[in-house]
Amino acid sequence: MDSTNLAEQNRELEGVELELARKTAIFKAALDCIIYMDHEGRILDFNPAAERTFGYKREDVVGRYLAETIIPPSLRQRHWDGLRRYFETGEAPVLGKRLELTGMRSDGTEIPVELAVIRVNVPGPPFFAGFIREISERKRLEERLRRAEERQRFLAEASSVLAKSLDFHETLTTVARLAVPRLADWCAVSIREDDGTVSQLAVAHVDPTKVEQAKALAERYPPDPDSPYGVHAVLRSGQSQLIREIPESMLQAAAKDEEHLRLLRELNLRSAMSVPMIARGKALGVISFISAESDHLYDESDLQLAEDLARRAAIAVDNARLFEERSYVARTLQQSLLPPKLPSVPGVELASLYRPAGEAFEVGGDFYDVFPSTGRTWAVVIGDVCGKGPDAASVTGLARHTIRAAAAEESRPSRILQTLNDAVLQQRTDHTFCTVAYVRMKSAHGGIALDVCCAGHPLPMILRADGAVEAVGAEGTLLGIFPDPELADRAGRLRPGDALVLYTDGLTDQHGPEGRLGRKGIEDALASSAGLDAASIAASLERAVMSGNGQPLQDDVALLVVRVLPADSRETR
Amino acid sequence: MLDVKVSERNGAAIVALAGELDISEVPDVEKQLKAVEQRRPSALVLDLRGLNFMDSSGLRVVLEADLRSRRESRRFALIPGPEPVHRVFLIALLDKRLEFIEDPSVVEGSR
Repeated sequence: MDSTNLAEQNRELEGVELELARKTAIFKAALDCIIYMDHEGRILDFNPAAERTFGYKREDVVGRYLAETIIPPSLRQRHWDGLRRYFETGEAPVLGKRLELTGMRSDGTEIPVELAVIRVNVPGPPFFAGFIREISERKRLEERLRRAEERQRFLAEASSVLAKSLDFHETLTTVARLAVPRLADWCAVSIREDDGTVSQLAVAHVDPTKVEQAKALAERYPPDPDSPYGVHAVLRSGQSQLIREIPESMLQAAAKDEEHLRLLRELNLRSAMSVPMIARGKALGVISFISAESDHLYDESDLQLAEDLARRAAIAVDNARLFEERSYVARTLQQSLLPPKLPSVPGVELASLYRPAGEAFEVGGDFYDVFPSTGRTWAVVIGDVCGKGPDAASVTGLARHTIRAAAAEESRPSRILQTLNDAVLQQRTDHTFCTVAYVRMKSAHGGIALDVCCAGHPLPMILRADGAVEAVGAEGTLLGIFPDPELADRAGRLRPGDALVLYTDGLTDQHGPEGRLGRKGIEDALASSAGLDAASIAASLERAVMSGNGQPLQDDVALLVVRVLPADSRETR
Repeated sequence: MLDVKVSERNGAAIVALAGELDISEVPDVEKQLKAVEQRRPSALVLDLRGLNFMDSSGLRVVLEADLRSRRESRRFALIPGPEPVHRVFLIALLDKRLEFIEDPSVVEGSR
């Protein structure tokens, strides 16, 4: 050997040693786990990071199968299948890709890991280098982010549900169902009723049989109102309660007997939140969330979401209650403005229809009345006050009472309506007006004599027994605007089997399938009701107006049918 | 749905309504009418030819505009709409109480 060769060899050796030193440094100091595996699946080398992550010492695992050490039992078969496939086909989907898998520590705990594998070609069979990173922390953060997004989505959905309906029983039941299982395994909503009692409005769980069980449990062992935890306590304090981990001691304190305790334990309650629903400073109820099977422990951010939801639910409940109250007031008012029921008029059958348009809490402006008048006559009146709400309602009341009072003194319809005109003019300053059709009926030989006066109102119609339809009365000025309305009385006559129909323009103005019904539409509907009794005539008109493609009523509809009983039925009376 | 067009001719304001005048349209129409009235036109013409529907709430708008015009000494006239619309006035005998004209030129230059 000459000296140059030796020097070269030495330099080469130095280079190789340097290289080796570098690579060893990387191997030892790397934060990620580096594991070498031979073609038979045995561990060739195991760096210090792998020792730390998986809890093995290098000397304890080198030579052992990877599958028997860091691969969890459930994934081992896949590993063997993959290795075999590689050597049979040359295909290895895992090479060169970043994978997320589960690894196993020496103590058996499974950990989420990120893995990249490369093949190292050497003379003879290749071996594999695996770079592994434990991603538990990242997974935890991802989970938190996912939960946060889920919460926002839930809140948006719940808000839209809450805004949709004014039936708060229905809304709260839906909200409870929405919360499960996304926010909780169990969700219950309790409401404080007007009389102060607390009732559970809704209970939700994915499994309906469990819901039944829970309800039965609550019935058998009702919650203790004095307990420092739970619905009653939250209602009292107006503060939320977060019990991150429900301790056994709490179960024991809540249990009334051994059986109760056993049942409570069976429910596997892990974590709970109770939040009050507060609107306008008052606690209306409580929403409770319980985590059981999902094993999730509630934290501050969960509580914030729950409180946010409860706030929105409280507003929805409050609004729904206000709406209900107003509807009740309006309905009661409405009832007082109508004759409680049609009186019995000898020789005649009556039918009426009243359908106010608009929301349940608005009072309509249509009215009708049937009452006995002077000289053994009867008055049949229908009217329409322009407008809605309390203003129109008060004119409606004024109209009915003024008409009745005037009819006690005066027999001529035109004079009665003049009196009403003056009363409205005098008592109202806001140009509210009304239209009225007034018919005075007197029994006459062979039928009923009519005296009709219309003030700005559609003329009443007569359906003759033979099916002919005609109008009766003369047009007149509407009431309440001018001091000198034109009002004329016109005579008419009903024979047995004839029917008089008074209606408001809500009937003719309603949209039907072919445009507005109009006077013609009414005439046609009446003509097809020839020979029917009063109730059937009213029903036929109702059908004509309601059949318009399910559209809501645009205006109040009121109608009165007065039919003279046919000769033969009259004799039997 | 209601369309309101305001124009002016020789000191007279013409408000043309098209579509349906019912209770839901009333607030908007009233607002526009009052805005027009504030400019103190010599006359106000309500052109109803484009309306295909009007109920009692529309009638009220008309009556109130008429009353305001009387109070403020302004001529107020209407161009009648199609039959279903005009009938509302006829039933209430308002064709005799309100001024109905053929076209806006009738009121121009009036005082």
